[in-house]
Parts: sequence; structure tokens; C-alpha cells
Amino acid sequence: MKYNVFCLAVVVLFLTSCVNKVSSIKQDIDLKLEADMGYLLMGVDSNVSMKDVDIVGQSNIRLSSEDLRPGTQYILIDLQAGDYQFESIKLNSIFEVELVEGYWNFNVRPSGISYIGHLDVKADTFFLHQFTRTNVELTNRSSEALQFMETEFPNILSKRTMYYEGPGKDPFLRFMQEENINE
Amino acid sequence: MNKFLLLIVFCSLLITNQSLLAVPIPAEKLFNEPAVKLPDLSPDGQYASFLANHSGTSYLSLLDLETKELEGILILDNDQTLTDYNWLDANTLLVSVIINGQNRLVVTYREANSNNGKWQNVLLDQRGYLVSRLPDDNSKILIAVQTYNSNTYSELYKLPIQGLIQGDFDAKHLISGLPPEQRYFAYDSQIDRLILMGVDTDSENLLIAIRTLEKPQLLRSFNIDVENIDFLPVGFLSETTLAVLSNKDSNTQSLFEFDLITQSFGKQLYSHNKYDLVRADVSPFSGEVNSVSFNDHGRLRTEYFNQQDANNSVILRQQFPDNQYITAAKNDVTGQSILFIFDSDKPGSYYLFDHKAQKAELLLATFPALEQYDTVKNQLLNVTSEDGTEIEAFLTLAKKPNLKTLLVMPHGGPVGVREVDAFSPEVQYFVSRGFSVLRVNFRGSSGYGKEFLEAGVGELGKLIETDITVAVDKVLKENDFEHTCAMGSSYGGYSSVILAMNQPDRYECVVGAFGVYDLPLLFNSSNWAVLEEEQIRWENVVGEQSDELLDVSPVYMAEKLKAPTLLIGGVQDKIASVEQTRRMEYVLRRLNKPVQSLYYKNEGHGHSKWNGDWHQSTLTYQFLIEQLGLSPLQKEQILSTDLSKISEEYYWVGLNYDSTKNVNINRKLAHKFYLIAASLGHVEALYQLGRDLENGEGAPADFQKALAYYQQASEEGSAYASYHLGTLYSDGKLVPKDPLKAFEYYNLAKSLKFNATVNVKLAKAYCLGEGVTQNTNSCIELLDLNQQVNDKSPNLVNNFSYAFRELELAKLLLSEQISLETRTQIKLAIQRWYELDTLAVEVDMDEYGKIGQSATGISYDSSSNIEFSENNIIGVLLDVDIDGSYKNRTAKTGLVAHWKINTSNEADEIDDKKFSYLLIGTKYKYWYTRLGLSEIPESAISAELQVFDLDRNLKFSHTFNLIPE
Repeated sequence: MKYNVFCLAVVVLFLTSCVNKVSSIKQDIDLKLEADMGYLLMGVDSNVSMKDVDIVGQSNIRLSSEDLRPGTQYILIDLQAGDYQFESIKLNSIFEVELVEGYWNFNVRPSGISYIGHLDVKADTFFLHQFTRTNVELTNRSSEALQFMETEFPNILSKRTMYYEGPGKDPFLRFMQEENINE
Repeated sequence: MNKFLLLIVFCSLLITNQSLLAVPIPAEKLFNEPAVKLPDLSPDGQYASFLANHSGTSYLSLLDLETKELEGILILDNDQTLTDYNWLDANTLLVSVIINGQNRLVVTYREANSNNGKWQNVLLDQRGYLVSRLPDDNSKILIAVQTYNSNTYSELYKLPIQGLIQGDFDAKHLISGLPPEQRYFAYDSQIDRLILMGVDTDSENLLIAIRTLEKPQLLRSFNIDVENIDFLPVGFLSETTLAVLSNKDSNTQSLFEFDLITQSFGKQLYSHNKYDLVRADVSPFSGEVNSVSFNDHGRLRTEYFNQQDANNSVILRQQFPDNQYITAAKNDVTGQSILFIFDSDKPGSYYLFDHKAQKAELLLATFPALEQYDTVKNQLLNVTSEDGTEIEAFLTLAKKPNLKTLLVMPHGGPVGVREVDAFSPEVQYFVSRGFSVLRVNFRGSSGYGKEFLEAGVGELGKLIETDITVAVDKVLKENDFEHTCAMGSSYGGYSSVILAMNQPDRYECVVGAFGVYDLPLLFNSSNWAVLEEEQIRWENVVGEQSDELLDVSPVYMAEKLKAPTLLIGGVQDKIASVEQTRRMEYVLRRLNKPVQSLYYKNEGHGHSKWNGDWHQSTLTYQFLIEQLGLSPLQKEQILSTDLSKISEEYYWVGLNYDSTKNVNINRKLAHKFYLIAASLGHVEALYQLGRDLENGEGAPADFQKALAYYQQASEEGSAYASYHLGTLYSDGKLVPKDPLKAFEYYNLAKSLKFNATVNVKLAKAYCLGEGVTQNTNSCIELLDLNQQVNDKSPNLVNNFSYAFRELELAKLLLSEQISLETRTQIKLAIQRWYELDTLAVEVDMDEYGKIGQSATGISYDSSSNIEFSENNIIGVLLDVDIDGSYKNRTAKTGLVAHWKINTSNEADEIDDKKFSYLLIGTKYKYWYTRLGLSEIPESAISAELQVFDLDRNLKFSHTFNLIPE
């Protein structure tokens, strides 16, 4: 019995320690990041509030309802570089969006700003705690994300390179920052 | 007969005799539903039937071919849609409708043998579709029906028509022995076989089985691998042979035999050496080809091989030498056909062709409202591209006015899409306003064979634009144009930008709608775009993914674009994601290039509603004339009867910029479009201009000018302006308080059919004797909204009218200006209107304080000291005890809640009755009242809630202290 209690305690400890609840950076001050760290930038565009979003990989993080309100917003966090994937998207304590394996992966580059897309959530009528239909995808809105950084975090943007690190390969951000465009 | 039906007949038959008018055509008349569509003939030949549309309402209508009377036999509500129908016999039709988003069936019938009998409608409980009539047994039909526990129409009935009317879906009519995997049904009357279809869930192969109606044994069964066979079935030649249209073994889409057993193509029955066949008609068993159709230089051409049809075709070509036609309905028994006669300058009309008399007679026009305009026919052009390939194009030249401007309009796609020589609302919109339009079937367009189609793959920004340019060169050489612009949607948007980049000296402006400007983005626009099938789909259009795509993507070569550009995007676009447009705009702005943009929030890859097309065409036209320095549309150029529609279109653009509903707010642009609408005589635009200048939105605030706009709008018939002037003079806002003028303006607004809110305003004036002699009866009469509904008052009574009346009733009950007698009359009226049981009531407080959100809903912080912040709201939840409610739970009463504001600054005058509310309900109502602190002056130091009964006895009060932040 004692052994079981011990096991339970270990499991609880493990579960609580393996997922870090994170919230978005608010101030435009570039952090002194370790060499194996980078910034992750994602947009959230949802017509409903969400409970939490779990992302697993080099480290495991949980985006909380504070950053997952209805409307459009951005989440900018510093994170260990490496491969990640969306593990779960919970709209409330009952409804979890089913994610197809292989289409929710992204990468965080060391030292850079990795824009991984906008988590686009459109959920239809809420009836008896059930969403009748949900459409969830990760959309590439790099130009909007770049303008967001230019407006809200110009200091960080001036010190770091911004990359598209969502599904597929997209040269847009690289092109825009290589001064191919004469302002 | 319905008024609208008379209108359609009148327009169809009369207008054709008028001389045609070369004037701007309102967008609303061009971009709209046809007045009639889906024609058919009754089995006895007495009627031509149509789905008719008038002001958004669907009708099933019958045109008596003898008397030419048009009758609506099934009229739906505005939120219901008629989608299809079939004649079952001379007295019965089965109609498909959408009601509350559900597909339903209606039987429309009249008693047999009563030619003048009234048509009746029965909504069936069962959902399904007509499989076929049975020529050998006219009294029965085949109908597929949805079972109760399934979403598929998997039951098949051979049902007597009379039984259908009675909803008699008895099991004895059920056709048994249907294999579960093939539950889509068809019936070929020529070979008298039931055809069962389905999809194999594992292989995704098409399963086809054939049997008789009577016996359950399957005569033939086929499993067809549709992935590897590209064909369009035309009909059965035998039980094992299909006639199909395919280009598998030919360059152009041709008519072949297809053996279902070996799944191989056999004899080629017909092929055109240049054009793809678009349809064919064959005789079963004999394999004889009756007719084939193809687009010859974009014109629908049908070759008939049956002598009778060929003779008819010669007659019709003589009668309609300049037009194209298709047979829309045919009655072999009576020898009648309904023909659709159309062309590039004609949206089309339906004619009855009597095969015996060899004569065609006009029935109805699809767009009768367009018949009075001098719409323009296309010129057909042939040009030879640099590699010797012949390219076809369509040039539509402006008549009057002629702005000497060529609009090059590349089509979308670019692969598998084409232009045809038919009526284009978009082309006619611009041509009627003085622009000429060129459209080109460049490499990749469909209809010209496989080689031509595939030649366009991966030629974006290359061969495709070369083809277009060859046509443009020819047109510019042979015509006298002063300006050239490029505009298009989807690929057309891309192509327009590329053309202008490649030839900056030629193109003076560009419009790209729902376009693609970054080709690599097609492959990574979302996490679903990286699916293999999606990647292949795009590679079949733009070619393989490589860095070379950057060299033909406008986003990465934007410095080459010199022409002013209008970019239009749909935020919900799943084909060309809105990011395409945003990127193009971002780069152009970064390069300080002249660019304007518009994003439709609720639209995808084009417009889902006609008013979206009206909006876009008006906006585009304005962009073109401004960029090219052309003179704007003048009132005198517009047909007087069209002024209201065209000015409304500008007003509509302005209204959209004034709210967040469809596009982003842009007050300045709203103001600009209101100015144009007003210049064309739109009175509500004058009112909006006044609002802009009063509030300093879209233009600097100027109250004198605003007042002038309001007065002009009011004089010219604006109900809004008259009402607003009434309110300004009533409140003494920006003008000296003048109850007399206020009363006059409210009266004017009432006569101009402003909603019933104006009656409440007038009632208040009568009760208080402001601007008019006090008259309690008039006051009560004007406040009686239910009576106005019953009397069908021209002043619309809406929810807002009721809500507004409640506010005013509360203020009147607390007013010191009215006599006891008037107050008593108002109280009695309230008791009557709201059916109150008692006025005896006790009030206390349940919850109170600053309002917040909690997991369970609204919360109150139970504090009487509230921090003064504009975001804070004070709320009180009342406990109301109604006398006698222990006996009668539904006993209703009324209260007046009044928030009394005390300020430290006497200069901050507050209308003492501003925050007064009438509350009505039973004991179990959620009795609450709230005060938003953003609405009260900063000098406020306390807010006292006073609750009165309708006799003005104070029943409860509580004071909240306002604490500075």
C-alpha cells in the first residue's frame, strides 16, 4: 500500500513538473537567451475561449486560457530550441480537439524568432457542453506576424531573425529580412 | 395573379419593343438571380413551368401556354429555397425545397380532370428524391427515401402518385432485394433497367449493378476503378456498354464506347479535331449518335445527326441568326420544346418551340430588367502566339460613353477554366460605363484539347502571359485606346499583376481580387496544405515546388510593379488564402508603391451574396476612374429610373466602411462614397454626411455644415435626417432647444415612415405639452404600439420601438411636468399593455455591488463603495415580492428603477430622468438594474438607486459611493 501511495505521488509530481504553464512576453526587451534557446511566436485566432493547449517536445508547455481568449492574439515565449508538436487543444474540460499525427509539428530555432503559424479555431454552436462542429488548423499568416513584431516588439525583432517554422517551407520571412526589399 | 408574376410577363413582352439605351447598368440588375430558371413542360403540354424569383422569394410558377397567364402555385417564405421540381403527371409535381436548412419534399397537385382546379401543396414527412417517372405505368413513380435511422436515401419505393399525396409509403410499395452497398438509384427507361450505384469503402471503386424493377437478381455488376479512368458517362448503349466522353485516348474530349466488363475504351463515336465535346446524346442499343455539342470559339454549337433535329436546327438558326441556343426542356408526346436563347449581349430568354408548327415563341426573359439596355456583343478574335499556336479571345467594345480604356481580364484557374462567348454581368457592367474588355483563352484553358490544357501547367508568369500579350498587342494595334489596365480574380489577379510588372509602360492600373501572388505559399498556407494530395493538386497547376517559383511570384519581384494597384481579399478564402493578398499589400506598402486594399471579412474565394458583387464592382469602377483621371459618373448619364439604384450602390460601399460587419472600418472612405452617393441624389447619404461632420468622423467636424446636410436630407425626404433633427431640437444639442421645431421634425419623420420610435417621441411631446398642446389621449394613442401593429401602421414597430417606449414610460411616470390625471392614464395603459395583475409590491435587495464575471455567470462584489473607473458597472439584483404571488405564480407587476447621480460639480448637468427604467415581470423574473460608470460625469460622487411602484411610491433605495481611482 505504501508503495502504491509512493507511486501515485511520483506520477503526480511527474505530471505537474513535465508541463510548464507559460504566458506571453509583454515587454519589448530582448532576453539574454542561452545558445540553445529561442523565441516561439504563434498567433491564436479563435471564436471561442479555450481551456488550454499542450505543446510537447524539447520541453513541454501549456498555454492557458489567459492567452486563449476569443479573438486574435499573439503568444511570444522563450523556449528551448528543437522539435515540438501540438499535443492537445482543449476547448473546455470536456471537449478536446482530435489532432492528426504528423500535421501539428514545428521547430524552434536557437537564437531566432520562430513563427509557427496561427492556431485558427472556429467552433460552432455550443449545445449541452458540446461543440457541434469545430474547424481547427494551423494557418500561415507570416506577413501579419511580421507586422505584429514590427509594431509591438521592434526591439526584439531588430536583434533577432524571424523564421517561418510551421508546417512546410516558406521563404517569405527570410526574403523580407534579407533586405531584398528596399524601403 | 401575383403582382411579381405580372411584372415578369409585362417586362418580358413589352420591353423588347423599346429602343435600347446605352447607359450605365445598375450592378443590382446585372449581378442577381434570374427571374425564372429551370423550365419544364407539363406532360399534357398545357403549361411551361419555372422556378421564379422575386425580391429573394422563390416561387414555383406555371405559364399557361394558351392564355399566357402566369400563376404562382407554390410560394415559399424568404428563408426557404426552392431547389428543383419534377412533373409526375399533368396534375402533380414533386418539389424539392430547403426549409430550416433541411432538404424536404412538397407535392404540389390539383384534382385530376379539373383544369381550373386550385393547386394545393403537401409537405411530406419523408425526405428523399425522385428517381424516375415510369413511362410504362404513368400512375406510378420511383422515389428514394431516407430511412429513420440513416442519413442516406436507401429505401426505394414504386409508389402510386395518389399514394404519394397521401404520404402512403406502405411497405408493399418497397422494392426489395437492394444490395446495401449500392444505395444511389437511377432508372433508364430506354433499357427498362434499375441502376444501382455505390462506392466500395475499401478500394473507393465505383460499384454499379443493373437489375429489373421486378426481380431482385442483379443482371450485371461492375466494380470500376474511377481513379484511373477519366470519363463522363453519357448513357447506356447496352447492359455492358456505356457511351462516355473522355480524352484518355484522344487529344480532345471525344465520345467513346466504354466496355464495363473489361473496363476499356472501345470505338470512337465522335471526335472534333479542335474542341472538346461538352455533351452528347446517343440512342441506346443502336449506338447512334443523335447530337454532340462543343464550344466553337466559345459559342455553344450542337451538331445534329438526326434529320428531324437537324431540320429544326436550320429553322432556329434562321430565326435566331445571331444567337446561341440550347434545348432546356422537351415533351416528346406533344412535340414541344423550351429553348434557351442567349448570347454575349443577351442574358437569355426562354422560347417555346413547336416542332409541328416549326415556330419559336417568346415565353419569359431570365433578366427582364436588362432588356431595355444596349448591352454589347463580343467580337471574336483569333491570334497566333509566338510558337504558332492559335489563341482565341473575346473583345467587348464600349459604345457610349467610350472612355477609350481597355481592361484586360485574365480568367481564373489557370488550368481547366475558360471563357465562353456568353453573357457576362461583369463585362457588361464595365462596358456600360465606358470601358472595353478583353478576355483571352490562353494556354491551360479548357475546351481546346488535352495538349492545349497541359501546355498551361507550370506556365504561370510565362507562356500564359505571352498568350495574353499577343492578343493585347493585336487589340491595341487595331483600336484607339488611351489607357490600359489589367484586372482579374483568383489566377486572374496574379496574371494582372504579372502583366503590369512585365509591361509597366502599358498598364496604368491593376485590380487583383482573391488572387495568388506568392506561389510557394500555395504549398504551406496551412498544416492541411502540406497533405500530399494538396501538394499534388497545386503541382498540377503551378508545376513542381522549387525556388524557380520565386522568380514568377509577384511578392518577390514587387519592385517591378509601377501601376497603382487595388487588392481585394476574402478573409475566409480557403483556395487563395488571404495571406496571399496581405503579403502583396505588405510588400507594396514597404516599397511605397501605390496600393489600396479591401478585405471582405465574411467571404471566401469570391462573394456568397449578390450585394458583395455590387460592392466590389462599384469600388473597382471608382478605383479605375480615379487612377486613370477619368470623369466620374454624372447624374445626367444615368437613366432617371436607375438613379436610386446606382446611388444606392455607392451608399452601400459607404455603409460598409462605416461598420465592422463586412470590412474594416474606414470613415474617410465611407465619407467619400457618401459624397458620391449624395451627388447622385441619395438622400440618406446626405444624412450620413451630416453625421460624419457632426461627429468629426471621416471629415473634420463642422456642425453648421452638418446641419445644412441634415436639413437638405430632410427636405429631400430622409426620414432619418428628420428624426435626427427632431432629436437635436428636442435635446437642444448643438442647436438652441426648440420644442416646436422638434415636434415638426418628428411629425415629418413620421410621415416619411420612420419606425415607431418616432411615435414614442411624439407621444412624449403630447404628454408633456412640448411643442404642441398637451393632449393625454394623443399621447396614449401614440404609445400604444400593439394597436399600431394591428392597424398595420406605416411606421414599423420593431423591438427597438418597444425598448424605447419602456424607457420613455419610466421617465414619464417620474416626470414632475405631467398632471396626476395624465400619470394615472399612463399607469392604466401600462397595466393594460403589459397585462399587469397587481401594483402591490415589496422590494428589497438580493445582491449588489460592482459587477464581475465568474465561472457561473455574473457576480456582485457586495460593496457599496465602488471605484470610479469607466470600465466598472454597478449592479443590483432585486428581491421583488408581489402581492398574491403565493397563490398565482404568474402574477405580474411593474416597477420603475431610477439611478440618481450626485455630482461635486454643478456644471455637470445630468438629465434627472436619464437613468430610469421600466421593469416588468413576475416574482420569479431576474429583476436587475445596472449603471455603467462610463455614462456618468467624472464629477459624480454617488449614485442612488431608487425603486418606485407604478403609483410612484418609493419602495426601495440604496446609495453607492463612488471612490476616485
